[in-house]
Amino acid sequence: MSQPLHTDRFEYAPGDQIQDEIAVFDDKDPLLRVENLSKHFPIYEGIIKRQVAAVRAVDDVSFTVPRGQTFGLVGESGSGKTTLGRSILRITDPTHGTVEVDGTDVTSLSGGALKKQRKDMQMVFQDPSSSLNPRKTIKQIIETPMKIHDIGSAGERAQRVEELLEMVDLPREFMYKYPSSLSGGQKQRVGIARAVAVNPKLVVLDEPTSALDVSVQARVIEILNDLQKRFDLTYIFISHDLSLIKNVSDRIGVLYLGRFVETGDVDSVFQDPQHPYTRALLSAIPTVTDEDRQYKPPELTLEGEIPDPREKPTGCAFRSRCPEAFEPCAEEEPAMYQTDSTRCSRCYLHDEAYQDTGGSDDQ
Amino acid sequence: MSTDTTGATIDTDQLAKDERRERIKRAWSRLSQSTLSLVGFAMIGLLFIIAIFAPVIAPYPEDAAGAIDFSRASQAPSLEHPMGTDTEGRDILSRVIFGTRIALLMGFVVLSIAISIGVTLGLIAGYMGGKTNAVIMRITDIFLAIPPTLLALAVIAATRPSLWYAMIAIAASWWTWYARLIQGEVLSIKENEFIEASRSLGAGWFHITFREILPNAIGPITVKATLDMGFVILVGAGLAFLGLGAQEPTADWGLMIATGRAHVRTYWWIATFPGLAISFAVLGFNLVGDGLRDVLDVEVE
Repeated sequence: MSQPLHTDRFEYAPGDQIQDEIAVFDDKDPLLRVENLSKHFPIYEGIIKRQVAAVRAVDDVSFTVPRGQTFGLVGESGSGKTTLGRSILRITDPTHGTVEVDGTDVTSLSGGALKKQRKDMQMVFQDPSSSLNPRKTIKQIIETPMKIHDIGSAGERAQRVEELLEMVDLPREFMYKYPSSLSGGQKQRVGIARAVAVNPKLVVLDEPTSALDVSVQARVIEILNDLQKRFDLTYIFISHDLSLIKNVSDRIGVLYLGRFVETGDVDSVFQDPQHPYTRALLSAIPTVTDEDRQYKPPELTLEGEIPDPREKPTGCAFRSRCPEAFEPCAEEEPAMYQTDSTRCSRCYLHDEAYQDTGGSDDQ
Repeated sequence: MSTDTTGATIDTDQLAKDERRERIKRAWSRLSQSTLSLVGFAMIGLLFIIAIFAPVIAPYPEDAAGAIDFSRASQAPSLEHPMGTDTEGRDILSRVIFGTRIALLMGFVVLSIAISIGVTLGLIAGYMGGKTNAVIMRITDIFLAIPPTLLALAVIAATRPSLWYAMIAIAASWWTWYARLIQGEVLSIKENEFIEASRSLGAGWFHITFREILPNAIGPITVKATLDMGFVILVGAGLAFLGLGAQEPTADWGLMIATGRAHVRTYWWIATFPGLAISFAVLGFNLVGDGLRDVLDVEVE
């Protein structure tokens, strides 16, 4: 998945406040273009069920993913990464914003057009034991998307199932087995086969390996890599496992309470994280080798839990746990600042106006 | 089931067969651990054999159709008439044998209607949720509040007593149990990720409810239907006993008890043998239902 970094960046000055996060990466003809995407869940109260507030699970998120690349979505549980993935695929309907997959605005589709579009965008779910219907055989499960989209005759579909099983490295004897007789890793491979059955362009991988044993994680990742190369698939890889994200992604976005706090090319973010939250996350990765350790920023432990999204702190959402918080953080949420050619970070430390007053923006 | 390549066809079909045989074997081995459910299966099997071959087995098939012969009325059980004869001189054994057909017919017709209505409404209510769910479930509650016998009385009062009206009347209240059972099942099944998965694949509500959810509810439906067979037969016999079901000269167990009731002290056999037949059927279906519950590992209220 490692592709050469983009060279043709547009001009910038470090510390520039930016309005359009998408412009920073200047992708020509991206496969996925997410613009100002929000998903708010209403909160009702009282006997007449009046809407009193909304949980902003995903709040004004923008990014693009070039064809054939992997965008890693990182964040703690409750950061909104799964909701973001689901909103992109229209599994839940986003509140605001647009999602374009290969030039088609997915958010404006409905009915038959949306059904047709779903062929291009698929999902691999976190828990393979729950995402496969226990009453269907592996063959029935994998051919379901083909049946729904009315592709091929029964014979052709059966043949395709055999092909797909081979692609995910499962024996064809599995066709007539039920999910209950498969191991977790095997089930997840069936989930992957189902997702690629109808030749999608975009696949959202929602923590595809977090329910699996470490020993089988590597194999699943390998299969995903193979499929990506073979079919030029574009992935959104959702995970809280940073070492995994580092290995699979080309570019990452760090989510905190539904907002991106830092986005950028994976290597630069890992080598030199800009946002205090990213730094804290990276410093919390357990390391084994020296090679790992070189990415590890100085120890920075976060206090407390991620706040209740219904009661976000005013100003910067990360303020309540940020070791570097200072006066402006409480007043207004910081904008995204472009810190170098490959990255944006949402923190006042990057603002020239605060360079002296702020804590230790030593980077 | 690929048809194009001959070599693969045989091979895949063989795989499918092996897998199926394996599963049947496993289910049987679990079932056979419970002696009682095996006894139940034997009892039900016997009922079906009797029902199918009634004209062959019954010593006096014409008596079941209502041939009257007062010269041999009310005879005690003997070699000639193992269960005796009734007040019209009809062989009770023959009528009990033919009554098996009516009883099983009753169970199948009532449950087919009840399951079709109940399962469909339960699926829709559980899947749609919200107002649709509220409306369907309140209607279900209203029907549930009326005892089946009472509803049957009303239906029959509005029409006329007959076996078919009795079946419709029982089904008209029986479906509520299935609607409730399925609605509850759907609520828990639809939380699974595979429902979301099929939605993200582009599946419509029909596919999701009938192809994804329903197969997961087949277990509880099967168990409940088996247990209910006995109860439906019982309720049907009850209606016939009250004169609201099958009419003379139909060989119906409930009806036979009704006619024998007046003579229980003098000719005890007239009511006793049909009564034993009812107990036999109810017990058989209950044993099988309990056995299936263990094998399929489901909870039914």
